[in-house]
Amino acid sequence: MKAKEIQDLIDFISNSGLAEVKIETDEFKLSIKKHSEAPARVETSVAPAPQASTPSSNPAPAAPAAPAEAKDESSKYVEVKSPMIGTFYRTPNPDSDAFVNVGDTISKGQTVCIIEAMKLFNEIESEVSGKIVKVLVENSQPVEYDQPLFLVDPAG
Amino acid sequence: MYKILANTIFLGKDVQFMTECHSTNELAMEKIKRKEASEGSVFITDAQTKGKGQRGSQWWSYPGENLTFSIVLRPVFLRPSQQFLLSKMVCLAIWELLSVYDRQIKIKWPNDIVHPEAGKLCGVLIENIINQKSVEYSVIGIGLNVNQTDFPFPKASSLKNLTNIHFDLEEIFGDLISKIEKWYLMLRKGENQKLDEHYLSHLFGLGKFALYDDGEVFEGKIVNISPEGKLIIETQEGVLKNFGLKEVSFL
Repeated sequence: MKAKEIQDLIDFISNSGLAEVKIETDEFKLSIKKHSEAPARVETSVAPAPQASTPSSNPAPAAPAAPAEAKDESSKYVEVKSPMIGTFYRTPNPDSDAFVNVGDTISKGQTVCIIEAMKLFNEIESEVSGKIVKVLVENSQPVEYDQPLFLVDPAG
Repeated sequence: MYKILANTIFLGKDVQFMTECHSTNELAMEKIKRKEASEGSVFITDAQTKGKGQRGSQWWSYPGENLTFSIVLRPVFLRPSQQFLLSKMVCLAIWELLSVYDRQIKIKWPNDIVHPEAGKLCGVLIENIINQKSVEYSVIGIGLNVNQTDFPFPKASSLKNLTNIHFDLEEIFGDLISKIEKWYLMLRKGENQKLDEHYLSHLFGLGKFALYDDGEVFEGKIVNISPEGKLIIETQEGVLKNFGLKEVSFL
């Protein structure tokens, strides 16, 4: 690849909305990462928008409030996610109490649930300490990889 | 009884024997949490008072006639999504031990060891502690029917039933532990493909048309196992179907 072609590629990428590009062929490996403020600015300019709209002019006044609240929650709370595909269990055995309930304080490394796949049973360790705010999945339901399982308030 | 094993590198150097125990898997889990167990620890008992099978079901065995034990491993090199390799590893070790006595012995998906006519010889219960990145601990519980000759339920058998030989439990135990270590070291070296191939080649029902039930009865043959451990069956029409646990049964 010629220097001019690389230059053109960099120009093209910097004008695109992409933050990071990696290209790999038999001949070369190219990794371009933008250090602009762009992604941060996009977020800050989008976030205030729902709050700016006046509730009176909106046919559904509750609607704009909800996303704003959800945004608040997601920034304040941390999700415990499923590291694997499987079936979610809140209890160690069918007849025992749940590992954790809403309002419980958990510490890092504590077991919060079991996920079973193909007869392998996995105790999931929390990677955060805090208070359980919400249990996001019902007992014995299937879960996907990376699916949020619990909402934890790290300040709680 | 059950001395420290001499012919292994790390497995079975810490053997804790109890004449009676509620469940060796549960005991191993408790010991891990109290930091009293490490990779290679083995917990073995003559009599489980509350032996654990699959979630909520019990493992039942006559005291002193069979092997019931749990081993502790730290397969931190495995991502949570790769954990079915642990099932393959342990099934292959048990298969290797038993197939010497009877060539018909097969691995039945996902983790049973069976004789096609006599039935189930061995049960495996694997319980892991995992985080987002890796399998931190694995407790592998094994219940192997050795000298028991009568079973209060159908489709269960033992080594003695198959061979008419009365076995020395300690000898069988040492043999099995060293085989588990061998297959586990293969896994640790990243020889995953070798495990995949061996597991498949000893799999019950592979490539043979049989009846299965996924809500409807159909004829198909097992052709492969997916990376996450699902059973892949090819129907008579040539359609490939993937099945998780409880999504299909063997008829």
